[in-house]
Amino acid sequence: MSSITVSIVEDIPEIRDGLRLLIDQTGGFTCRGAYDDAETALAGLAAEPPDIAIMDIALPGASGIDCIRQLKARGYGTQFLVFTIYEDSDQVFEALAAGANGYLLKSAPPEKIMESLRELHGGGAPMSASIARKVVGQFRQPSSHMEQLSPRETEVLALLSKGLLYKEVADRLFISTGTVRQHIHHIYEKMHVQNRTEALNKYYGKRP
Amino acid sequence: MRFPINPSALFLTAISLWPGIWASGQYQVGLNVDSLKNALANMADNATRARTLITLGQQYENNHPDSAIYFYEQAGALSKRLGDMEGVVRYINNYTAVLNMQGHFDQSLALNLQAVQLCKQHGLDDLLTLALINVGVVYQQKEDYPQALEWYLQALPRIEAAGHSQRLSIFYGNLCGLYRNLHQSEKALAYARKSLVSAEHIGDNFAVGSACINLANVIKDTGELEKAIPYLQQARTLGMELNDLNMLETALINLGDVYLQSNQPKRYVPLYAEALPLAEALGDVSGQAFARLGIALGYFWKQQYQQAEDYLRASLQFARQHDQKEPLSRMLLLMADVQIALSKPRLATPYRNQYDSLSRELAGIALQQHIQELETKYGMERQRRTMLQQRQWLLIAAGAVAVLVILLSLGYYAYRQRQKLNAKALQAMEAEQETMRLKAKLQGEHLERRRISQEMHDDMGAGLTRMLFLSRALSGADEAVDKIKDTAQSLVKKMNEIIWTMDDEESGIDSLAAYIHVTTAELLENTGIDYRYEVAEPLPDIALSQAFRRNIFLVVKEAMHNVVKHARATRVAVSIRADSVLRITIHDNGKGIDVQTGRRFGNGLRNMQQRIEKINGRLEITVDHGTLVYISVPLPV
Repeated sequence: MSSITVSIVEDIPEIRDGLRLLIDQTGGFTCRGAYDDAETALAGLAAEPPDIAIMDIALPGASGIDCIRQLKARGYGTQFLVFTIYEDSDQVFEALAAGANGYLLKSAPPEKIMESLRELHGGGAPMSASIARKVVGQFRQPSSHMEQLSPRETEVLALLSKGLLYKEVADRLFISTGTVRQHIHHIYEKMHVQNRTEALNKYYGKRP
Repeated sequence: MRFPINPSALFLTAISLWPGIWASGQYQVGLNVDSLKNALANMADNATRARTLITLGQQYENNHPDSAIYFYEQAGALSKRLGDMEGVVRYINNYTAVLNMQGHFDQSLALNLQAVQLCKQHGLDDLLTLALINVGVVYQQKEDYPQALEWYLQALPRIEAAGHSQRLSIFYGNLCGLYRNLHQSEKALAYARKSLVSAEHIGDNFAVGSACINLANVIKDTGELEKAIPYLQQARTLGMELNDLNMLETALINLGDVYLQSNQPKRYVPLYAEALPLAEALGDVSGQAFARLGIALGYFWKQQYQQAEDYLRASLQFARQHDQKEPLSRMLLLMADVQIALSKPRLATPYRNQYDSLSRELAGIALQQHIQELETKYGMERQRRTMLQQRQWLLIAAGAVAVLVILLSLGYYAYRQRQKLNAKALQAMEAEQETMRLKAKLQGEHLERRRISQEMHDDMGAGLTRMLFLSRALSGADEAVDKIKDTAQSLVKKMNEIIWTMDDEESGIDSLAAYIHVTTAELLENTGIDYRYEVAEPLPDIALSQAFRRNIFLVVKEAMHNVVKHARATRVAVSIRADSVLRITIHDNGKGIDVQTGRRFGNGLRNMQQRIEKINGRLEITVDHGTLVYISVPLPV
């Protein structure tokens, strides 16, 4: 079975090297590349697209969020995990809207990091209560031609925004935690589509 | 679903009935979910349990498909463990039904092919026929009609061998649908007739009615509308006899459509009028919308324009509310015509515009709509009026011709005019951009302030994270290294909490409750303590100050720490209520705090007291089968 390829974009050397070591030493994973800023990452990730890219938001020079946006638009199929110190909802939310599929705290213990990578690869995604509330806000904007959430996704989002843990949500709805994460994954995808469509409309409006 | 008539509509309805009609009444809904769950709680791991799990899953199939899957998978795993092949096949039947609903056709196909193999290997003849059909159904949904047909034809002799039955009739109906998809109308017609014959043979009026509607639709395909009429009327009669609203409503709407296409308002208006209350009772919003359109058209043709206008107004609202785009689009056009007929050409304009944009959208060109909105916004009235006057005569003259012809000619003319207005639209959009730029500038200043405090936190956080990673790189099981790791970790966590406190968007009581929930649940993870968390909803929509949120949060966290570290409890319950006062209780079943001599906890308790007093609240700790911490703080108005 081929291993899951992961690339890292992180400017602090200790963190970048520590992560690379962790990934290479874990069975089933290989580190495809490690970059220390957005510009080289853009070129590198396009030339050698990994399965998953761990992207630091606070990079010198161009922002990681823009990097995600551009790479997502080119459609390489790489999934993006935002690597962040804080669960600061605004920045993380912006990254998610730009195309990230999930986020990862830098202070997470090594097992949790690998677990998150596995989950993302398996079609799941994490979401915190405050992010859930922001997502609810985004989907509440009326926009007739854009995809709205399914009733089940709305249920999951509502429970998450109240602060329930995945297991509690799963128990409440008689589904597995894996399914909860899949729903979150789909919600993120719909966010991406919404944001792309809005961007497209603004673009087409400018055309002479 | 009916206008233009979708050939697959009835067949899909029939297909979805398969599991029920086939497996001797095993698809039952409306059962009591709780009693099923109770039964399961006491049941041993046997074949009956597997069946019950499947029945339970079926209750969820319509509204909560992923819960249905959850139970089906349990049933499947159990049947595999027991080596009960019939159970496994049954699990596949039900699971794939949900997969089909969700559009996961490839997965469904693979499973159904497995089911066929299993049935062949274990001599499950009856289930084999169903499995063959299910494979055909999936191919049909994937629109691979030749393949679907192949599988159906494998099943055909088996079903025919069993003689006339409701299954056979419906099966013929499905075959008919397939042949229609393959544009082989002769065969489609043949099987539609067979379906009817079979149903009549067993004297099953339900099947006869369905077969009649089927046959009528096939006949309409051939263009011989009048020949379809007797069958639709038969279905109508049967629907009335059987008191089957669905059948009756479908027959009425289809009959209405026939007369509409042959332009006989005297006939179709009463039919639609009869269908409307039925569609309402059935909650069929699509049927209601089309019925209303038909009735409105009737007023128009009878030249009762004022009535048409009043009726259309309500109908437009209905169609919009329920997002019925196809009938809405035609209603808009009709309303435009009605306005002209009432000599109010000015009022026709907005309706025609909406019609234009809606039909464009339906044709999938959403961008044109955006440009159109700007045009209306920046006053393109004059151009529109000139356009209109030129067309007025054309419209009134064409009023006698079929509605469809009008639709096409108007749409094309408006499209040509639209091209000329693009340049003006661009101008309007640039003005809009300027306004947006100004707004962005104001926002920027606010954001700058936030950015500065953000930078401070980022620097500290980055430094702490570096420490964390460095300490992990240190080898050796040194106690100091572990302490460094823990300290770095807990500092980052504390900063996370500060950031949360400073986040203005999280200032509501509901955010506070959610944050408390998440944090306390995480504290209790892996402690083996049972956690019950209750919030009295709805919580009032009040914004809390940073100090308020920080102090409450820290006190609750401290109380929870005490429970974990000192109380030796097995259960803890947190409850939050808020009206004019915020009340939080934390109750554990441990050994209780010795309030007099709580030396070890002394500082901690005093801190908690001080924090609550700072926000004008009250903190009480009592012993009540464990420790009860009660916080009450008046809320800002």
